[in-house]
Amino acid sequence: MFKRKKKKDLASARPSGFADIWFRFRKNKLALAGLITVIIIALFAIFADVLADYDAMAIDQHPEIRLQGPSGEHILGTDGYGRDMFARIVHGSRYSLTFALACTAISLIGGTLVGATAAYVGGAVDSVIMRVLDAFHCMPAMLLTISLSSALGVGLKSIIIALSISGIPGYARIVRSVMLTISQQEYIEAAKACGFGSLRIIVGHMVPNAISILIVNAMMSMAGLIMSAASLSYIGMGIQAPAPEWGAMLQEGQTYMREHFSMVLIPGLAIVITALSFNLLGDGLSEALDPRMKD
Amino acid sequence: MSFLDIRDLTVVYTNGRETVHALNDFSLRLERGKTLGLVGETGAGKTTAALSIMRLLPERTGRVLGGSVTFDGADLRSLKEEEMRVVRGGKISMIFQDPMTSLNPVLTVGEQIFETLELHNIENRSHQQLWERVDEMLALVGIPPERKKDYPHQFSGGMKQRVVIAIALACSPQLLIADEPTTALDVTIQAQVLAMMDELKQKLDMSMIMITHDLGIVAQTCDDVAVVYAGEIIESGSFEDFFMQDKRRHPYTRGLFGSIPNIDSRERRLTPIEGLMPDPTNLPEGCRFHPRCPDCTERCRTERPTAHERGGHVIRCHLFEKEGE
Repeated sequence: MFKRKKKKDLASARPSGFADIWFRFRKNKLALAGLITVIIIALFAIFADVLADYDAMAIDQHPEIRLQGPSGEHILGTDGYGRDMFARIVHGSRYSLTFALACTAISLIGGTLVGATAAYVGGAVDSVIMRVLDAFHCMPAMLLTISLSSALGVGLKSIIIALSISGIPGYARIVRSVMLTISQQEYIEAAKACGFGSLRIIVGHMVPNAISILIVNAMMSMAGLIMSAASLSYIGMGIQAPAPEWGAMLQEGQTYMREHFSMVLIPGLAIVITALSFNLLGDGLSEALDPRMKD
Repeated sequence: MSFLDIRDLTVVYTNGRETVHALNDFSLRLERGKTLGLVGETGAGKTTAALSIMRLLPERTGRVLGGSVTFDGADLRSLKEEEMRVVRGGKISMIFQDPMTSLNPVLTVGEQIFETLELHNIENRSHQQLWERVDEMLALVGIPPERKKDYPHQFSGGMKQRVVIAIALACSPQLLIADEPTTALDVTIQAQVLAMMDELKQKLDMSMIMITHDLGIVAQTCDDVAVVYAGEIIESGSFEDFFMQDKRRHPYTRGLFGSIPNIDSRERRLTPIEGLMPDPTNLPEGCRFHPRCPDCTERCRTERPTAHERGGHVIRCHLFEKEGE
């Protein structure tokens, strides 16, 4: 009787599901900080229009108030054309996040489809798919982007296409190797012995086992993609002026760097903080999402 | 016809270079409500036999060359894949060797029992009724139903095996194939799990094939026994044929019993069977056991013995040819 009771208490002491994940995630303070920052940045992006009018504050030039320091009216000061820096940073987050999310989603879905097909079908199909992906992998992402931009014209669309394509081989590889490992597990054989069909086993048993790895990789690649977007805009291959993209702002600020260092510092910090937060979030999730991790 | 009737089943594994003869003219019979112990060394073909019944042999390498498997009047080998899926888990369940790895780590144990029930939901029960059944199954194997929300890693080995058994029995199968269900467990838990399986078998009135290499387990749980050697049944009979007499035995079975310590005798050393099981890629001519057999004759080297039966006790050995007539 006593034994039973003890087991019951233990069971109720251990939270499960989302509560369980949150319980483990909460312990990692850095990851928590990352999550909060990501949420704040996302809120900035969602409510950008409420915080600052796009045309009036981020685009229209006001030469009379150019290069002002921080003040009550312009929290982060103004740039070389008299545009409000805060408004530009806030609207810039829209570009960075949209871009990173779109690329991650496209390469995640594409990579999962390709990788799962390779792992499940196997044989010659597997070899062909993997060799084609190898060929893609050999081409540097930046080079692909630059050539695609020249072909399709400079703009958000071409860099999203280019960076999504270069992201696919990575995800495909991860998905394929994870799926191959999982398909060898005894619980998959046990599921077959219970009478489940192939599709059900892949979707219901194999993908859930792979999903935590995919989420973590997606978070990590978000960080990388934000950097890539900024670098491309910095060299003028990405989003074009006068749009308030962080990398482009960094490039514009360069001219005034000696007298007004805040003009490079602010977009630079925005890029670093966003990328870092996604990294920390990914790190924390990788620990929290694994149900085998004990306390 | 018996409830489960396997006749002359021949299975090979090929990898392009060599062919492993896993089962050779494997024949087996099991009656309703009985437990059959399938005994043999590692690599004798016990698990292959189980997987062939379930039609779960590795697709790329395993091949059935001939023979028949009849279960409850249905020829399992000729069923379509969709029909076979209804049999798997619904009519025939299988328990795998290692409970540590046969549960999916990212699904709660409740979900795992539930989805099997949902898959074989012939009576069209509602979700609520199915969840009640999950509680019922957990209680049946001695796990508090509140723990259905826990993940497999939160259970001990013995409890995981109970969960595996709960999944296997959830749909009230007519036949349970247990592939060394207690090998991964320590002896006390092993006794508990075996006693529980036996009790459940009585309660649910099913047949069971107990695959093991432990004669102790056979003595404890089985009605019938079959000994597998190099992919064929060399001796089969009732529990009494094996454990109550020691005159009429295949030389290999005699060797097996000779390897068990006897509490009454004061012998210092056990007498193991000399040699190793033959390489299944290169089986010996004649009787498969002849290179290790103490009673080997010239005939054994060249001619494959047939099965000789007396009162349900079947032995595949030339020594017993005359008495059968």
